[in-house]
Amino acid sequence: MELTVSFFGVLKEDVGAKQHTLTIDHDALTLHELVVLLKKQFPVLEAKLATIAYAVNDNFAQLDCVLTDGDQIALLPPVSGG
Amino acid sequence: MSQWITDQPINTDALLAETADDACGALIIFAGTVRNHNDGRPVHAMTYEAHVALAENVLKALEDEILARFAVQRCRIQHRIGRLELGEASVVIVVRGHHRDAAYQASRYAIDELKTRAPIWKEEHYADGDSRYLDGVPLQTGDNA
Repeated sequence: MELTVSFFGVLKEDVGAKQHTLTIDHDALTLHELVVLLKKQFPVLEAKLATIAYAVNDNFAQLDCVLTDGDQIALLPPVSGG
Repeated sequence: MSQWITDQPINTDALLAETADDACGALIIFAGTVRNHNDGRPVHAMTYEAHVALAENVLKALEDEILARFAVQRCRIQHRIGRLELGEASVVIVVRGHHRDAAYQASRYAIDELKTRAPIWKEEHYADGDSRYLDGVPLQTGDNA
């Protein structure tokens, strides 16, 4: 299955991309499992994970969320609106 | 773009027209504007970025919550994204109520909650050409609020 991950705010600079597509040899995996994969690919994320929130397909999501083909995942670092 | 996130200058008059209510004797307008310094560094401009779909849902829900939580009759919140120059409004919050006490409280609540709940980020641009994202606060998503 294919997943698209979007990085917002400073995370774009950290990983050097706004979006990243992963092709994974599973029918489903949890958001937590995806994060483990992303950490391997982008070690810079490791230190930031405690303060990152997640969204899947435009809804906030927790780490136990099950991802399926075509899902859009967003990594949301600490916010500074206003 | 939508009623909650815009890439154009915020039209406060339009928000006032939209919330017009003759039953309300108090009107509070809060605007956050780009200031020319932060942490002792001169700021030249600011770029705001949002997860637009999520931010719209968050701001709409915040408006609804404010109407339920405070004795106010109208609440509109609009946040701008893109590059803003000094003095331009990044956010405008309009609250109308029968009386001022609740309207002041609601306006303050709106901006305080927006700052922790809305998936919006700002990057400061400095006079020397450097820029950086502000550290920010961890996003409160409702499940972890």
